Amino acid sequence: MPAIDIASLGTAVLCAVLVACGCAFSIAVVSARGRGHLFPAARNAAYATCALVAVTVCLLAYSFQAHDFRIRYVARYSDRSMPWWYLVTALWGGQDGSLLWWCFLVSVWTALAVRYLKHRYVELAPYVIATLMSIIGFFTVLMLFAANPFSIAAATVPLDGEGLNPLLQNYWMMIHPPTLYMGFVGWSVPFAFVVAALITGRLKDEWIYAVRRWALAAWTFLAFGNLLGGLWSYEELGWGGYWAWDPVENAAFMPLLVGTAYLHSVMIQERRGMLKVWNVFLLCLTFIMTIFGTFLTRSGLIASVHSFARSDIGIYFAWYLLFLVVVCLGLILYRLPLLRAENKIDSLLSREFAFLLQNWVLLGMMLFVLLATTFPLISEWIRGETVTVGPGFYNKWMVPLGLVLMLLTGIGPLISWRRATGKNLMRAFLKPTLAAVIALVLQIVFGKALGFPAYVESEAIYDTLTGRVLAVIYGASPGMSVLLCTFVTGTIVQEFWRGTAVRMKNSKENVLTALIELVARAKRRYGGYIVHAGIISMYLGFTGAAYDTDKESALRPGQSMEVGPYQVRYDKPRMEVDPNKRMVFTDMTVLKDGEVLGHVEPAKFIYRTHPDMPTTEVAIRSTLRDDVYVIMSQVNPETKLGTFRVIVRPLVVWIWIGGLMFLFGAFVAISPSIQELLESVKSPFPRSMSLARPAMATWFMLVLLAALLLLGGGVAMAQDSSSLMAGTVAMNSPEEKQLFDRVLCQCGGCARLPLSGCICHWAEEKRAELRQDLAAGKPVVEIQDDYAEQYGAKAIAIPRDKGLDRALWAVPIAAFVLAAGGITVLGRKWVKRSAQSRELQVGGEPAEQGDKRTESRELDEKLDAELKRMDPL
Amino acid sequence: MKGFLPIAFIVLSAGGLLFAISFVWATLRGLLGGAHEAHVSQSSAARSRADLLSEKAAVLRSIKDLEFEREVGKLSDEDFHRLEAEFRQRAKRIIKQLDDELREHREKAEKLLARELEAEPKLEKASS
Repeated sequence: MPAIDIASLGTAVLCAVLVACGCAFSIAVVSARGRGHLFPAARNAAYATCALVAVTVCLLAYSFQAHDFRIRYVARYSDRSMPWWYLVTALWGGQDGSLLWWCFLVSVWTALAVRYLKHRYVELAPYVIATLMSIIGFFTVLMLFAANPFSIAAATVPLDGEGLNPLLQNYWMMIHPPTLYMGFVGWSVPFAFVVAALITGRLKDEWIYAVRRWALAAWTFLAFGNLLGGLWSYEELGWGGYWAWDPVENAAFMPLLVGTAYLHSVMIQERRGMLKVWNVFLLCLTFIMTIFGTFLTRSGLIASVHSFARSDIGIYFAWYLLFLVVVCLGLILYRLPLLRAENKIDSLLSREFAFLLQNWVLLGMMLFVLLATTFPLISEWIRGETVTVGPGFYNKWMVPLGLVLMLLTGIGPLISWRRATGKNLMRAFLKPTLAAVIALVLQIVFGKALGFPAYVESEAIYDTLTGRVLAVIYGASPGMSVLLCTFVTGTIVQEFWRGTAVRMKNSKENVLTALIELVARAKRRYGGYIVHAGIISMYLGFTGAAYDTDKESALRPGQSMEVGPYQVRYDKPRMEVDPNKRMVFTDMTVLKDGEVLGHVEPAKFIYRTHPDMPTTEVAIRSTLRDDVYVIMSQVNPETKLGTFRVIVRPLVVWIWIGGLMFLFGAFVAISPSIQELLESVKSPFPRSMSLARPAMATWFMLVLLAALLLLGGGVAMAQDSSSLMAGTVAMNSPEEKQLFDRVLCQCGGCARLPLSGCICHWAEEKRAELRQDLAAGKPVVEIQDDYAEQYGAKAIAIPRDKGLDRALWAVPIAAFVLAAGGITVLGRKWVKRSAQSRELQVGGEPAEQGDKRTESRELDEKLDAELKRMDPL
Repeated sequence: MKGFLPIAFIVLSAGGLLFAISFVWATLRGLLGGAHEAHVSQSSAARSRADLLSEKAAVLRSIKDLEFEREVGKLSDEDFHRLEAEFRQRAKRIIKQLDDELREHREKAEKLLARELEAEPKLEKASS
């Protein structure tokens, strides 16, 4: 038993955090209301708050290392046999600790922002600090009143803890949650800036420049966190996929979509002074979606395989969300007169309009995911019956939206600002379009022979016209994907080449120097293109799912199974033991045409603290062409008979390569330019006023992340992962697969797993029963309907295409189409107004008089001199 | 490592607590003693100047961007001139604001210089 009463100390420090952030908030507001001399006090109080939050985290980390099982959270999520690194990650393994970790990361961002604000944005700074303090205050209240990680167990102190969930004892859990949380909470800083801008009415370009790097950094963390989540799922959950559209995953994906829309639409405001209301709205919405996502996963309102247990903190989040919505809408309405656009769209064939369309697709996708995620709740409210929306629904509906988004990703950078002419368009689009068409033709001709046909047969999720149309689109998606990926790649290559050529001509540089100088001098633009290239690579990886081959077999040592072009041989089982667990491995060899390609060793781990929850450790053999993904379902220790599932997943590795590329692109876009670095050196103002420090901090974080990925990635490519839920099920016909994919296990312990992937006893019995129905000639749809009648609508993986369930896709599609119509009508109106205002301006601006003209000339000369001093791009 | 980490976390907690106390102390000094008052009132002008300088840099970079887009053929001459005019207007407004902030000091400096220059012939006469 530790000598210090950490539980009481921790709770006392949490109370101190609340007091300190209340003081910081009050001093910041007072300093903004005419007492500017108090601003340093507000900064110091904010620093004090952040330091206190760090103290609470260190105290909890100490409790884990010292096995202080008096603290309920420590007893619940750790045990004495756990190695020190899992004792560190156990900090965010449960609800209460993860809230503290969340609060800690907000305070890290806050400390960086407060440092950045020392000599900048004097009018905005106090309100930025006040907003950030209010966020920390909310999380502290939550911990103190509903989820205190330092609360003491009511019963006697246990001799050992319950241990961390085996699924969380994985190296990805050391990287994935902190990265994702950094992305979530990172949006607090841009949000604080926009609130400050709305309160002060300083809504010109100032706040946009202020949040530019913060928003990019938050976006990068969020995107990277999502990707790491996919990698964890692929490596750890052992069901063979990387994204299951689980509510927890959707909660992280939605703010990413809105944040991406913001990063693009803000460029229109920077360049044309348009969409001011929209940008403010998008930034507020991104932050609100991060809180909404947290609400969804923390409240336990929606069933998820990896959300936290149902708890009473949901009501706190609900009130906070309501407060945020009211404040944001109120401020936007109050400041509406200051948010008027300075310009109108001149043509529908312009980059402004292309970005607007891209925003429309991103928000449409967000709406789709939002409605599908919350549909079980909506259904329960409206008709008292809950439903399940499985991954099949998302996978089919997201494909067409993703294709449109990919097309716009290619068009956006090529098209001119203001108005594209026929000559412009021809020059910009000819080569990428030609390349795309050639790639498609090549795929149609040679694709089948190479194992990558342009069209694949796809199963309909509904037995209606909508289902069949979706199946056709999905079937054609490999070809469309190749067409669009080549098009976008062409546009990116062309952009780099054209820029390099101009530099070579103007600065007389060689190709390499011109290319490096070009990127160094326009880092946001070219960093953005590299991010796009990363997304193309990922998209290709997603397309590979259309070619998956999957097989299950029971083998004896020495026997092989054929999956796609590979043979997988089962050599022998073996057992190992460490202080934490027993491990049953099966040594296997992967061969192609009789030649040994490598060895894999899928396993089952049985943890000492969770003997009833053996985990499945998958083994993956990765190449650029495909992954051989081997799952060991079970092995009989006496007969050595093993059951294995092998999936050949083409192109998966391109998803992770794309992730590295977009990380590099984001790194390029965020880092300070040469000019900024030079300015920071020769600046007459204090050094901390320069952009260099925050940017260097961002560099540091990204380098750290890249190092972590490389470190983790190296291991990932070689080895195994685990799952409690998923298993392998033998399916003897396409009808069986279709049926088992559509109906969910109802044993009560694994509600979201389809019968095609659940290995519990209940599922086994139910499958036998359904097989008899199929053998009796009953159609799949009829069996599915009977199943729904017996267990309720929630037992079906995808809601049926009738009645209220149809609203699931009809509402977002209707909103999507209406928004498209609205944007087009609005765009036309803007174009018309813009033309009228141009006509009114014919003859130029009124002639300036005497002194004014002289002054203007002087300013022009100064401006020209400054522009001359700047390096060209 | 097992024995070292608990001590490390306790030391970190203590260090964090010391930091927090020092910041609370600095806050109280700021609130009660006005230790930084003079510094703040002097530096606020410098801070707003820094904001304007960064805004100017962004606008100038946008003008350069436009020139680049015209060179690679993405922008017609007409559109370039129209967009460039908008950015030049914004840049001139910022330059004027920056100049106005320094006007008072410049005038003072010019007066001092003029006075020095006036005084110089008298000194020369006196010395001769």
